[in-house]
Amino acid sequence: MYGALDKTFIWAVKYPFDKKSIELLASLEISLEEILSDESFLEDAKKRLKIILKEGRLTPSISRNPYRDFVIFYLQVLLVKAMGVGYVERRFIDVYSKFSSAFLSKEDEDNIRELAENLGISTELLEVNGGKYFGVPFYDFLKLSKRLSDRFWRLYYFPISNGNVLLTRKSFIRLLQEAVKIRLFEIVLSVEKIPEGISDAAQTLLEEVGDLIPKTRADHTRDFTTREVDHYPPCIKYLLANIGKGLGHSARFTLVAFLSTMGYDKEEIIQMFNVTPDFNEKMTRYQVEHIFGLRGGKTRYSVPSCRKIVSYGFCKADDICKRYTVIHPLKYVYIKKRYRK
Amino acid sequence: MKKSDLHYIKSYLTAYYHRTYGKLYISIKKPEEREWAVLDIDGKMVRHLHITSLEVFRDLISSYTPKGLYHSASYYEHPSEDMNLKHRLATDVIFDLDADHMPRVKVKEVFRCKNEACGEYGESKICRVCGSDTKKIVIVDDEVIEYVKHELKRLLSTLYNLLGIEESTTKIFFSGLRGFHIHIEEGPLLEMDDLERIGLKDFLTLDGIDLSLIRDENAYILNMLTEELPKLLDEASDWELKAVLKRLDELKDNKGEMLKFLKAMRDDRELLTKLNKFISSNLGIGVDPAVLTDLSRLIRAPLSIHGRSGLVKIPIEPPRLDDIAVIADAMPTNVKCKVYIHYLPPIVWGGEEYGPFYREYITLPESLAIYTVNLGLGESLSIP
Repeated sequence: MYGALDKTFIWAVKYPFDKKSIELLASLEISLEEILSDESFLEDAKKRLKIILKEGRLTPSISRNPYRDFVIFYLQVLLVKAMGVGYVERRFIDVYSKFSSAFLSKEDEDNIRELAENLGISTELLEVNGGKYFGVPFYDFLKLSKRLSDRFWRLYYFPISNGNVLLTRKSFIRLLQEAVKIRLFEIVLSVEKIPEGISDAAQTLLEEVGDLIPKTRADHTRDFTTREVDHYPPCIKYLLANIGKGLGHSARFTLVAFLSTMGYDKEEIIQMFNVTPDFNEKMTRYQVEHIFGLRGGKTRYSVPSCRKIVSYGFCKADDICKRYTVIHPLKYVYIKKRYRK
Repeated sequence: MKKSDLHYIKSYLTAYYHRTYGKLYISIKKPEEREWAVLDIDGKMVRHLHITSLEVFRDLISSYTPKGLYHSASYYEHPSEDMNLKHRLATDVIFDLDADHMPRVKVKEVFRCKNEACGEYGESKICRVCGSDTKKIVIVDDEVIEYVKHELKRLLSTLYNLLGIEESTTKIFFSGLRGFHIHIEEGPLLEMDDLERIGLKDFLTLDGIDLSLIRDENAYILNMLTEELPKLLDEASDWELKAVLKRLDELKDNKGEMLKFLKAMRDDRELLTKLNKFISSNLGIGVDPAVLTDLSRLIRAPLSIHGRSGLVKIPIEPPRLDDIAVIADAMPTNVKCKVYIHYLPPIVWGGEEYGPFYREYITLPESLAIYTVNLGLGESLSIP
């Protein structure tokens, strides 16, 4: 069995990002040099990161030495930061948020609320018509649910009372998983200086796991560049079909950003708009060049997400959008090219 | 527009801003952290202006004749830089209720013949004189504003009673023509990014609703649906929809059964889509999505004049909402003005009835006369 001190370490292994765990780390007064003097720590941290990259998950279990597990987590943070690869960072954060979430689902209400509080989310326990709920301020709900692709995560599907969204235990834990992701991201971001021993280990690791890291986003984008309109999502087809009737600002923006990603040059796009009732070449050129990043702040604009397209009012989701849970127009093109030739 | 009319409107705007610029400036929260913009009387829009003091603001008002005066909803570190260099600090949450975005609000419509040689006005889409196509002109008056006021009350009730937003943190304004603006200028909501604002917008408008996805018997949308069933049954004209709503009405005391019924509707996607659209268009609140979700949005400055109507964007105290004659209060002067009217259907402006007028000189409140000229329904403004 674990002793009292071990219990604090067990909490720290389960929730290493938590305020209590970080305080524990500081209280250990142990230097990185001391930790690195035992090579097995760094070796275990690398092993664990390899599992994360290879399998995309960690079994939610605690070893007989929770102190070691906890220290290894922070060595992984340093390694992830030193590797400097966005994909590795996202994978690490995603896997650890799920790892903690699995433990959280077994905690009692007080522990869940304590962890939420430490993550900056105040909760109330409420009972409505016999149902027990965790009440969360609606703006926290919007913040934490915004990247969840399941359409169920809309405010109107939940009970709401006096500014609080009422969540079942299961939904609340799922939402907390998003808060954990934000906290883990902050922890990785907060690392400013990489110790030498870690940099070398990170480089070695990067060479060993290179084939587990997908191509960069830029390469990926090039993969699904196409001029075959049949591969375009229904919203873009709709905009192309209605270009002659004149499109609103958001619609023009979306279309230009999409076509530029598909490899059309600015002259081709400007000519496409030469069928609108109010075509003004000078103005169109200005707008297109702005989106291409040739004017103003020189930012090249990307294609808006499906969420934004829905809010603009021209989402025309078809079966593919629904079946593959398409959350970005480029994902649609990718699916059409890869799976539905 | 005739040069003489442009000159008249210019004097009207100049006189107003000369009287009001100080009051206007101090009514704005942190004016020095906002981007400002002016739509000049000549139609030129000047953006990315940085107002650092009342003196700078006064100079701005003197340099231009603002047909529209705007400030950003966002607060910036560098308001005068390009958008991606401004560095956003926070953004007011602004709800725009506009008659144009509300299918249930009946605006007044006049049609002008597109054939320049004819140019006749009327109330049918085809010119009754030459049979040509026409251009639609939408007219807002007291009656339209009263309709929008109902929507405003629904929105306020949702914000205060359901979302728990403190009344003291909201400012309500008549927008100067077609509706109302609600500004929230303090509290945690100002930190919301665009995706979070889209979530709030979806909640209010019920965009993207799919009733078959409701899982909780206490869900907000299920409660609202149950409460509004009698009204929905009155509104529904489609027999299939009526049948679904009647069944829901029969089940309303057993929420579990209601959920099962709605989930089973997935077998008939077409009918489910029809029901979803009907619910969002009848129960959704018609806020302008772009104003609520766009972080770089410019909004008409409080106490500025709406260039088309000649009316002021005035603040409204919630307790006065039922009694206030909005347009009457928003007139910056009591001055009357003579104008030649081509055509004006009967309208109510500031509590008074006017029209119908047809090809005649009439003396009207100055704002209404300017409004008719801007709509192309009148010309030749002069002091009677």
